[in-house]
Amino acid sequence: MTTLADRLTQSVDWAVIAPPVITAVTAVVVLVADLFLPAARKRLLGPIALAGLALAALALVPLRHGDRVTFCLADGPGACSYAADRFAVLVQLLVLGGALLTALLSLQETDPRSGDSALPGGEYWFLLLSSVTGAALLPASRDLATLIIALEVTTLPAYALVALRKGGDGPEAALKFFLTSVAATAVTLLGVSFVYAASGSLHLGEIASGLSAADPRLATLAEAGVALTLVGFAFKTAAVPFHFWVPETYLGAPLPVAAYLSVVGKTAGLAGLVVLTARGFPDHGHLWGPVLAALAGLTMTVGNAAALRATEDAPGGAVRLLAWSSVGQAGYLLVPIAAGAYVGADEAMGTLLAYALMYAAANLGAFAVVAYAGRRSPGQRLADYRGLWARQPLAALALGFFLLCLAGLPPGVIGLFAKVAVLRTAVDAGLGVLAVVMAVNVAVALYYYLRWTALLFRPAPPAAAAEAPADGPGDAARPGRSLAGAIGLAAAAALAFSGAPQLILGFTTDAFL
Amino acid sequence: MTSRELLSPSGQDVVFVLVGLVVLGAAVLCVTTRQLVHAALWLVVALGGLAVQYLLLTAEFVAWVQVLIYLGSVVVLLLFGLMLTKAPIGPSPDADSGNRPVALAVALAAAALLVTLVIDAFRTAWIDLDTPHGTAEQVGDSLFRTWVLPFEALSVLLLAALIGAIVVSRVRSRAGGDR
Amino acid sequence: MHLVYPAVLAVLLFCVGLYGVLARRNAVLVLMSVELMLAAVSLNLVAFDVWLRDATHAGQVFTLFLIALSAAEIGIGLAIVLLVHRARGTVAIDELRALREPRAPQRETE
Repeated sequence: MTTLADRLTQSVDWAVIAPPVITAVTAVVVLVADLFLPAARKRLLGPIALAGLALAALALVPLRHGDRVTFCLADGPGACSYAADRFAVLVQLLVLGGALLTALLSLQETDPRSGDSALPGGEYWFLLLSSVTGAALLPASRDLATLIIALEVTTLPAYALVALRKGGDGPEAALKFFLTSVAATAVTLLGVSFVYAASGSLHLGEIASGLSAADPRLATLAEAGVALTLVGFAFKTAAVPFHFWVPETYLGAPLPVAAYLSVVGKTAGLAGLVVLTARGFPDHGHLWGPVLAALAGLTMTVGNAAALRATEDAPGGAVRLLAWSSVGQAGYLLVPIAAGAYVGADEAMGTLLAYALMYAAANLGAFAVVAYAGRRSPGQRLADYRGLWARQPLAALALGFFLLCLAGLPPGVIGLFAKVAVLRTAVDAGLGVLAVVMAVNVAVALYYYLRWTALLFRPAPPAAAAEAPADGPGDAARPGRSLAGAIGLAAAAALAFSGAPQLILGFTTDAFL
Repeated sequence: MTSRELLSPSGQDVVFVLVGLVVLGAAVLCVTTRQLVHAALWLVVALGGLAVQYLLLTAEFVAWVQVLIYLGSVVVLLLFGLMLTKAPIGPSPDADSGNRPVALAVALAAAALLVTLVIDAFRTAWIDLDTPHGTAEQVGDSLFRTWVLPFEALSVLLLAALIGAIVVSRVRSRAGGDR
Repeated sequence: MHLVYPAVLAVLLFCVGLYGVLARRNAVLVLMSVELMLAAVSLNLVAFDVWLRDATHAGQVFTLFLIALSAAEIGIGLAIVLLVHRARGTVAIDELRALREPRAPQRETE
């Protein structure tokens, strides 16, 4: 029998949990370094954060076989709290890559030489890195406590990050984001308590077996619990009707934070949804399949319909359009999760991964170009992008490519293939109506993506060239470099995916469970 | 197990129901009163009543943590929040929005659905309160044998909340001059 | 004790909090209502844990985590509410309209 000294705490395999731990440690290091660095050297905080994220991404390499677990129960090796399986490792790669790109975007905003408008460096990096820690922990969680807490660790620093830009609309945006998010958490938790009552455990594997062996009198309670948990989770990832905070938050937040929320925040939330449905509630597909399918259809329709109304002269129109486009894309991302009820979790996870990787590269790239162009025209009107090809040809080309990827047209070939993969999964699952709705939405979305792309290549109005403010001798060069680097990386990723689609489409036929 | 009936309650059941009525009454007053500071104080009564319920359910560690953290810090924070946003001492005109009828309908519908669901599911479920199940030793043992990962993740959450709250509410004077 | 007592109390408390979230206008009052909802869920979890005699005390441990989570959210929530009050002079959530969609193309948002 185990003695008292033996097994006092859980055993930890540090190599397995390295990615979130390295990110968390970097967060604290940056915060403490902010205290000790003299003002002249505060610029080093950004590179320290970047190095930490790169190191965390490298720590994923030993885990690529996807068979390591840690934080297991002492008396039952089956129930572990953290499992670095292939799906989790790939989502963590997406999260860390997205965070790296966001960090590159943020270097300009936190540069202390921008004076008053700079964001506070140490705290910004700390909050961003703690959010990334939660997002990295989320796909590998295998019990409900870790899952919910990881979701909160992802979103709570985001509330503060959105509010960092104090002038303007940051505070209001943060308040609305906060209130809707907290209400969604409360609904999720009610569902979790019902699932706990019906299954007797909070570990996902034991929940799955506990629900199927449950007392028949608790069956309705179990179904209510499953529905509430998933619906609350979907609300936190901006599914209808909790989508309305998205454009206001993205407008009020600093642009890198909006980019981060649109890609990493959404993907982490959706990965959590997949983990819940595939590992916790696999036998209840008849319940969550239709519910998630309905949410997917509604979300993509609402997002695309609202994006259609974007006008050229409205201030902040570019960011608003990207925000509604991201709501529509979230609808597309929900489709494979819903399909997982009928075709099995492997195909659902694979298709979700493929689409999410394409979406991450294209969306982050689009935000990077918007940040780059925003240095000259901070109003972010769509009209400011007219004739960008004449002023900054590479940026215009990159933005055009990213928009076409999101729309699903050549030369954004990977966007097209990813959408076809999602449609095929929906059809295989028998969700014919949803596939039709998605196809209609993709066609409708072409309008606003193509309109913006066309604007880039129109001749610029003559007044615009004279109005462009002259940059100071030094301040354009360095911030421009990090933004250009971000655009370049995102473009390289999207081009690589387009040139060799099997890189990510191969996931659709892989086995993950 | 001796057969027990719903209508022959033990002493614990009676106290539970009485305290439950107090908790519900305080909660209803908290969400309907127009005086903001009274709402905070009714919240204290509701949460304190819940701590008593935890004691009745033999979950003593959770009960004391509830008193310490919810009553000790959360309500104090809410009172500070009310003070710093200049809440009026008497009735406040902006306490309720125009959505009240819709909100009431939604809440009543949800209550009807959930209460039916819960009563139907737990018709024959009895809690055994004879042996305490929630002493500090038991909970601490579980926490460090089974729940270490969420516990550590929670520490990141708390630090992020602390730093976030400070950086959001700090008054920024001049560039570089605000530490 | 019959499990119905704590379960029904928790559900009723949750619905009272739900009413508060939907009906209240002052952001601090909405926060109080969310606290009621979270407290209701905690009661559920503790009652189920004692009913199941869970060896890992999952329900009670999760309740401790929820209490810490509520404290963290209240902290950051109130900081944001204070920020909004400083910026706009009000914390009534239906008066915060600056970021709404522009109704007509020529009218600028405030």
